[in-house]
Amino acid sequence: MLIRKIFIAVLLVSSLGSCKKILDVNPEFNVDGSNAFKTVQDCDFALVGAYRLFQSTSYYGATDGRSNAFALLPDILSDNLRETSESLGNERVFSRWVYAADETQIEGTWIAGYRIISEANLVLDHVDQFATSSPGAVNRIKGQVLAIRALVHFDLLRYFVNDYARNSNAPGIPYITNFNYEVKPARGTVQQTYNAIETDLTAARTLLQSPDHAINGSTGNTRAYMDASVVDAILARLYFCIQGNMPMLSRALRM
Amino acid sequence: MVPLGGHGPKIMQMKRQLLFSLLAILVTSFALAQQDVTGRVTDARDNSALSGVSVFVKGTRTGTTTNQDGRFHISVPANAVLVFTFTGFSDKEVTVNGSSVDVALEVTQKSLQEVIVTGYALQNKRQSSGSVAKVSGEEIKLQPLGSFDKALQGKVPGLLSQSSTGQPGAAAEVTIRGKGSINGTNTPLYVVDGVQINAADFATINPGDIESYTVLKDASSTSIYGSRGANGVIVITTRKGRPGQTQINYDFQYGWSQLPENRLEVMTSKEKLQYEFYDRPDFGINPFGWSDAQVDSLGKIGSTIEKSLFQKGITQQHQLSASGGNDKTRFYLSGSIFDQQGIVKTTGLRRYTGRVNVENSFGNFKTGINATFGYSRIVGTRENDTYVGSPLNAIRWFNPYLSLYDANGEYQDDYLQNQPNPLRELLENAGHGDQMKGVGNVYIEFNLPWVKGLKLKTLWGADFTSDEAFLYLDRNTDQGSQSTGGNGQVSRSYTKTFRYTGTTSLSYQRTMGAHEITAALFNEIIQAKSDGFNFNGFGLVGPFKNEAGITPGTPDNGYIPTVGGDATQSGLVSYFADATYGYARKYYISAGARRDGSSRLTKDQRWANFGSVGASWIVSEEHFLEGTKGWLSSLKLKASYGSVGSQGIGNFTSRELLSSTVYNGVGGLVLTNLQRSLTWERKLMINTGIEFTLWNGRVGGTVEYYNNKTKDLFLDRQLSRTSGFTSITNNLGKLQNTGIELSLNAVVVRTRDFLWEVDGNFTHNKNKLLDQNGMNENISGYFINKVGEPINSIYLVKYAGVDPATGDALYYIKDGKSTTNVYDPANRVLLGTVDPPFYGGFSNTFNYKGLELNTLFSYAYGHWLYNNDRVQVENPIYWYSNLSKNMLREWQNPGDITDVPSAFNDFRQETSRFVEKGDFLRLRNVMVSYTFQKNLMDRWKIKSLRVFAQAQNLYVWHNFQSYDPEAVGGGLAGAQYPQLRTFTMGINVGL
Repeated sequence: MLIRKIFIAVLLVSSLGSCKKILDVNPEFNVDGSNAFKTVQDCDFALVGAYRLFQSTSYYGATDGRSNAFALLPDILSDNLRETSESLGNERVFSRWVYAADETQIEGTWIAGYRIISEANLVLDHVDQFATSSPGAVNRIKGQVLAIRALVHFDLLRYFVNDYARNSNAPGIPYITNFNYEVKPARGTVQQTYNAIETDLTAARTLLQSPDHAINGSTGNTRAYMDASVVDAILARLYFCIQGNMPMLSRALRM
Repeated sequence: MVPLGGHGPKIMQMKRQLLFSLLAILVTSFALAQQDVTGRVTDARDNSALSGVSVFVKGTRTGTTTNQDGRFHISVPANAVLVFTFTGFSDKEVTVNGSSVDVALEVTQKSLQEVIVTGYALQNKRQSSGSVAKVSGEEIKLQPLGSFDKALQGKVPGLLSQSSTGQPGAAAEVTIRGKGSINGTNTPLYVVDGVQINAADFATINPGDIESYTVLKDASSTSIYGSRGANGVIVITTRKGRPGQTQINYDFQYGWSQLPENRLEVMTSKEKLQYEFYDRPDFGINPFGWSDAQVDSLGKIGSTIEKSLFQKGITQQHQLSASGGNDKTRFYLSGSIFDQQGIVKTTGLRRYTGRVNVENSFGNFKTGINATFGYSRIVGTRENDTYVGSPLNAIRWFNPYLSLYDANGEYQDDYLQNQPNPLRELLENAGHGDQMKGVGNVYIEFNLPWVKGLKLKTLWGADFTSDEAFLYLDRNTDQGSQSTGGNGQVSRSYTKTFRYTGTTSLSYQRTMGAHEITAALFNEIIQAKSDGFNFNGFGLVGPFKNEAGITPGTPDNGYIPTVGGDATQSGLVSYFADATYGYARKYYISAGARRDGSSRLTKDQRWANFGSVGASWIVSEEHFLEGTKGWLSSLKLKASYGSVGSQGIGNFTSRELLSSTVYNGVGGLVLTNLQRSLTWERKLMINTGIEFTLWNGRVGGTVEYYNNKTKDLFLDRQLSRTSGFTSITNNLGKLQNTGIELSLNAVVVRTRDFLWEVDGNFTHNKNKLLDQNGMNENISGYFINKVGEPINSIYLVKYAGVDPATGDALYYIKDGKSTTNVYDPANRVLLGTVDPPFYGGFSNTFNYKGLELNTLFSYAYGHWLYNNDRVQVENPIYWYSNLSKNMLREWQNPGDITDVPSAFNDFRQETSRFVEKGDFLRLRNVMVSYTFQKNLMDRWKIKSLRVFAQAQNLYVWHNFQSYDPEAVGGGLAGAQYPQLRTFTMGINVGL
């Protein structure tokens, strides 16, 4: 009987064929990390991601009155703001200085900062392979990424450390220089953290002198990206923070 | 309890008997003087032929089975007794007297013969060594619930169905034998006619089409679903036609739903004004500055908010079905309408479904299709949140002395606290979820003519779901004012999900005298794809309340629309074998082995092997129990052990993922998921049990013990926060669920006219975390997972009341003895689990000459819930909105003995003050029905007629301060959609 033969044939084909293919599925709306960095442009994409992370609501991007380390919270903790019923009592523990060890706003700042550093390190881990083929682009990308890494560490240092003195041996913050989520780094000292920030910024400054094209547009005063002059400004801020380093500060200010 | 190893010697004995019996078959075939007997076996209900009935001579191993026409032919010794057995029917013994024996078999009710559908094969309960519970569709279909899973509450030992919402069509949270996973899914697998369907998405499925729900709970019974069976399986079979005259049925019911009792009482106008004259920090007494005259007039205003937001919702339901066929072809067709208004204005569910089930046999082939298509629309409202614009929060928060309309008849906000008018939010905004769903399968079966009992079958089925969600936010509402551009919003999203299941099997089923053998090889492929698209348009400044009203966006007006989309897919491939062997209808053993691969898991770890073994012993068939036949009708011992898997995590969780992002108008990629190694979460299940019936089935029961250990838990491991991530999911840790299940049914009174039946079940599940990667405690928010304790336990500082001298809140320090007035998270203690360790249900049926009263209760106890709804109305900072009546007890003067601290004391919500017992006893359903007598039916020329009236969720005994004590996720956030209390009347007609 023909039908019998067809039936058995269909069965065999359907059950044995294409099983392997069914398991080999790939995301279409995300990029799999294993093939995310194939061209220098892919590094550019990830660099955009690092900038984007600064806009996190736990970092510079607080919106809708949500407070965090860089927005509103310093004012709430000081006497610049007084809490009324408008905020539904949401900031009460801060405005009345009765915050406990488990307040999410504080933890959020720490994680958001290191998230940016993570993204920056991810780019750094992959960008060097294009150094010979497109050196200008690598300078531009690497310079920005180093500057980002330094800036965030500097932010966190100012926020979480008790002693700002340049050569303080008080605990600093962990300085993360490569992408590895398993690492449990030591805090180091304030001095070590300052050193690492300064090293990154100086390296960034050098790299950003010779990019393949201008980093910020020529028009307007808005700078969305970190070019050489932005790095100079951060350096100035760093030296300003490190009291007693006037020669370096004045040099930076001149820029 | 029966230890697993107890069957060893029995199995040895069976082996020996097997050898003997094989010899015996050979010998007896030639030995005795024989007589030929022929006959026909029919179904007692409609006299249709029953094929495949096993016929054998009692006390011997001689046997045969009936053919397509129900006929059989057998050679027997003189005066032999023939035994007829058939799955789903009671056994029958007939003494041979002459050369012809015609037998009509009766369908069995509750006993070992009950048919269970474990998926690809029918089994009777006698053969099964697993833990299986069955609920007939009839018991559920009349309950006026949009989602059938809610109706399973209290009906199945081991199954817990909980729901925190009364929204028509919303699904429940169903867990079987406790939660076995922490980060993976705990949702059972739902299979309709062999096809996997989306869990917790049943708004478009008509419960009226469902013949039975079979709940598979242990490794032996879920063996054929091994890679997905870790959380239990709910196998649903739909109604099939029966040979005979075409049967037309019409079911109708009509009724209404209303608000249940409220246990969280807020202040009346008078009380709220009284409270405003208590002293408070920063604002003092009478912060709104009411004059005496105002206090007087406002105090007389009664709150209208409950009356304005809630309604009496109408429920109606129609179903028309036709079924019938002949011995070659059987069919079932149905169409249904379900329309249920919610008790919150505008909300509800409307559903239309159709179904076709057809099966045809020709030659050695059998082919068929089971398909349903439906459409549903759910209109919901914001719920389970703490948003000030959620209408359901206004029930608690809106000041009682403010009217919802001002003097001009316009909506009035609660201007004292900037709470938007809930009626405007509810009536001026609009939204709905439309779903189109098709579930169906086609199959073809081929009985290989060369080997008797050998069958090839392939079944291909799909669950296709298309969801469309629409949202319109009016620019004058609070929600609309928060949209981009601040002038309203229109959003629409489409998601379509398609999952196909293809199962091909080669099976062998044969009864040879005393030997029953079933064995099968399977290949199964499941692939799921889903993709979606959505947009949000803004600037709804014109007359239109849909896409036509969107203002094109410019940088100046700010109405820049957003558009998004997503797609995902996964695949699962399985090869498995399954076999049962039974001897002498007394001893059964079963085994299953399988290999599964899942696309979700890390490439080199995605394949895994699972297996199970089981055994059962029908003790009552033994000679040594002959003397107890008078009262012990049946007694069965069973045990099973095996492993099952779960791949219940995200489709691409194991990969490093970078997602799309934009900065300064430039597109980029941002790391959103860390690469990690993931393999199968594996559950080792032990199940033992006793099933018995007494006095000819008048009393029946089951006692089961289980011990399920989950290994390689999908569990979050803490990362150094310097990674920028908090944690990562790996296969870590062990979790145990042990428990006891009891179920009992009894016919208490049975006279010619009166019947009283009781049915009840009880489950005790003990959840215990054994290991979480060496970490003793893992705290997440208000909850903790601690080794040695149940997962999801509440972990908060214990509230010790109020210091009468100062009005300060007092907290127990960690040792639980002394108290302090300083809140410190270091004093947190484990308060109890949020998952009920004890639950079940019971029902009573009284029937007098066709007049029947049925009551169904369900219960759960021993768990705790966090009541955040209460926090919102007991925080003295919120004095400007309405508060709980409890706040009238606020501490005012030294010496006041109270449990509510002074308003000057810093409020802390992370304490046991807001933790309440979740215990409840629910009168789920009361139904009174009358079935008209047969003689009347003949006169009216209809087959059957029944009228009924029922009350669903009539009353709940509980002490949880809310509308309803059921909550999922550990508590009640706020904006609770109360469960419906529904009354309906209806009619069932058979033509």
